[in-house]
Amino acid sequence: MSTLLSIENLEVHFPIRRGATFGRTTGYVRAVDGASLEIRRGETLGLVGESGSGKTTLGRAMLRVVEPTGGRITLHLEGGSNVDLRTVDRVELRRLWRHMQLIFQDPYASLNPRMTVRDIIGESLLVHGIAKGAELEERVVEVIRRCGLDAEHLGRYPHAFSGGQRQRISIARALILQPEFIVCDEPISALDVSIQAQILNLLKSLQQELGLTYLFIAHDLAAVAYACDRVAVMYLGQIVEMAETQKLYYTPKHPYTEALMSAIPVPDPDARLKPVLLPGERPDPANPPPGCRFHTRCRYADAKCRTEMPALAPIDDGHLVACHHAGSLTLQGAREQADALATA
Amino acid sequence: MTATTPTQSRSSGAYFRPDVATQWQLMWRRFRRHHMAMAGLAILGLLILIALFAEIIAPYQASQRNTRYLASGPMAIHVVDDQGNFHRPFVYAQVNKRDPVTLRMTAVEDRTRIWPIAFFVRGTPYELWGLIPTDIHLFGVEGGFVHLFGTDTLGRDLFSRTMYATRISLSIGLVGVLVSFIVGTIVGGIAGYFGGTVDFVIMRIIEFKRSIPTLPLWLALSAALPRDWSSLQIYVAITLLLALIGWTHLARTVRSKLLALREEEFVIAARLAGCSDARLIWRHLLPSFMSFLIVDVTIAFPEVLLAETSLSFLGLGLREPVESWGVLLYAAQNIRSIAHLPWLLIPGAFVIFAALAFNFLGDGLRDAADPYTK
Repeated sequence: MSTLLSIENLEVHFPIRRGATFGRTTGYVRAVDGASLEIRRGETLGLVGESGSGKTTLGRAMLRVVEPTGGRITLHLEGGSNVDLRTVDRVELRRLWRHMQLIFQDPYASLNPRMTVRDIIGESLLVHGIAKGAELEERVVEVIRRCGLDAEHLGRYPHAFSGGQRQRISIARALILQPEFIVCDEPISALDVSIQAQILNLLKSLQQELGLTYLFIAHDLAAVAYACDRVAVMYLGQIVEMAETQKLYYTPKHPYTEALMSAIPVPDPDARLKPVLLPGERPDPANPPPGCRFHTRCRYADAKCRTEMPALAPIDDGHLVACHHAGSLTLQGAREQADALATA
Repeated sequence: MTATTPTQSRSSGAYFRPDVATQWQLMWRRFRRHHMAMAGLAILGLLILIALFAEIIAPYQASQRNTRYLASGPMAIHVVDDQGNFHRPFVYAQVNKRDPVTLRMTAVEDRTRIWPIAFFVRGTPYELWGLIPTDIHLFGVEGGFVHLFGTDTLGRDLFSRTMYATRISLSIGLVGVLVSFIVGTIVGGIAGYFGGTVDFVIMRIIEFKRSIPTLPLWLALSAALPRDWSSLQIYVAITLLLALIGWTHLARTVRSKLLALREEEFVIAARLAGCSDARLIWRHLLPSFMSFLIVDVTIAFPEVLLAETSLSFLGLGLREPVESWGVLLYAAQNIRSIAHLPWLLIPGAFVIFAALAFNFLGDGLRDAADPYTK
């Protein structure tokens, strides 16, 4: 599979200002701080991590909805030409957004309450001058049917729909320009569990029909396991581990991934979970610890971890991890956890 | 139009809308329940009608003098005469008599004769809106005169003058608010949408302007207007003056709303859809806070109105022969007027009613525009 989009050392630093008007910049929140990953054509790459780890910011910076402050984003277009996404101007960026779209977490905030579904979905066709009038109507109807809604819904306003239906509208809007790449920013977090499965399946079938590539941001590890081919784990603005879903879940190589996996809930009220509890709090991203970002909460940390930042490096085929001790640690994966529960 | 069943219009793909109330319909429903606001709306409607048709409603021209009824009070309308006979509405005839004590000529009711009030009578010729020559007035008396609000020392009909003044005062408010609305929206829009240095500079300018107390600024600026300007020039200048000072508040509202909305997800989605800045602002951002702006404008209206009135009252705003409520009140400034001609204060009631009506209207609109009220 060829690479569709790659990012190298991407940084998004938000300045912290003290004082209302003549404020000095006293520091930066390092929301994304040197993240690197590659997204392959046609795959679903999961991006997991706890709240505040920078998942959403990374997803948006990739599309330059949020301006990155450092690093490179390269878009590999069909036909072999590469575009340095960080240097394109606004006009070009607007054109490139036809290839890349975003689905939002909150289906209540992401649809303009003062526009009908027809106008919401058809807008990009109109502004790009692709279609209008009857042709626009036709294409909107086609895409909305694909997403499981009906032509009669087009004249209504978003408030007339349930959360799941709104998310379908949101997906239809992202699809109308026939993009190749879609960043799904926690598309199911705001939905009922029963609706979550519907939306996941919709995304899956759309991917098969249209050959889409997803970046699937979520913190529901079960949903990620179901939806994704590969998964990247994010901690404090950095990618700490990336591998195929099975490998990452069953043979994690980073202590943080181990802790995450042990926290997957089990649908059994009697099950006694024994999660790997991380001591302390997530450090402030404005003031990250030196060395390995995770050493303050890692039970395997030693002197090297406290001073030297580990690079994201391959440990075996397609399994990348940023840990000094990745080779020597034996860590529990999701299966060991499940087995331990079964025997207990 | 042929009646189509819902199924037909559905299959034809025509713009089919089931029972979905738009934002404005919902607002109107909530607004109708606000009785004071509805009253305000009614009063405003009446005032606007007066402003539009001042020439017809006024029985006389604003500058027309009646030397037989100088500085005399409002004439009462009766339907029953001294003999107890019913008539159509009438006023008693007036005759001039010399006061035995002050030796001044005063108008006295002659209760033996009546002047019946007629509707759509022919009176002083005029041109409606400066275009249509006619001499029809809404009401009047034949063979006599009628002064519902009395007259001033020159014998000019106060009722007619108030009608004409309503036109000027309301139009100043309207134009003033419109200009400040446009300037405020554009400047605030630029500041809020682009942010950064542009925002910083604009906000500092606005703060500087707001730090100057308004009344002295108005006084200074209007005193600086050349004395030899025609009353029309003064009128335009005063309107612009009031507008150019009033826009700052609106600009700040627009800016803060834009700053908040800029980060909304549906705005980001619209950007990703490829919307240009202009389309983003007009199609997505402005409609989202238009309701707040309308409320702001209804509240800004009485401010401009009162500013004009107070300027004219102080003699620095409009001047005769232009009539405005402030100009009319200017005549009622001294103790002699209040003691002898208290009816000269009647235009003040119009100012109060208009300001209250706008405030109630703004109140009702604010409640109606707030999606969280039940």
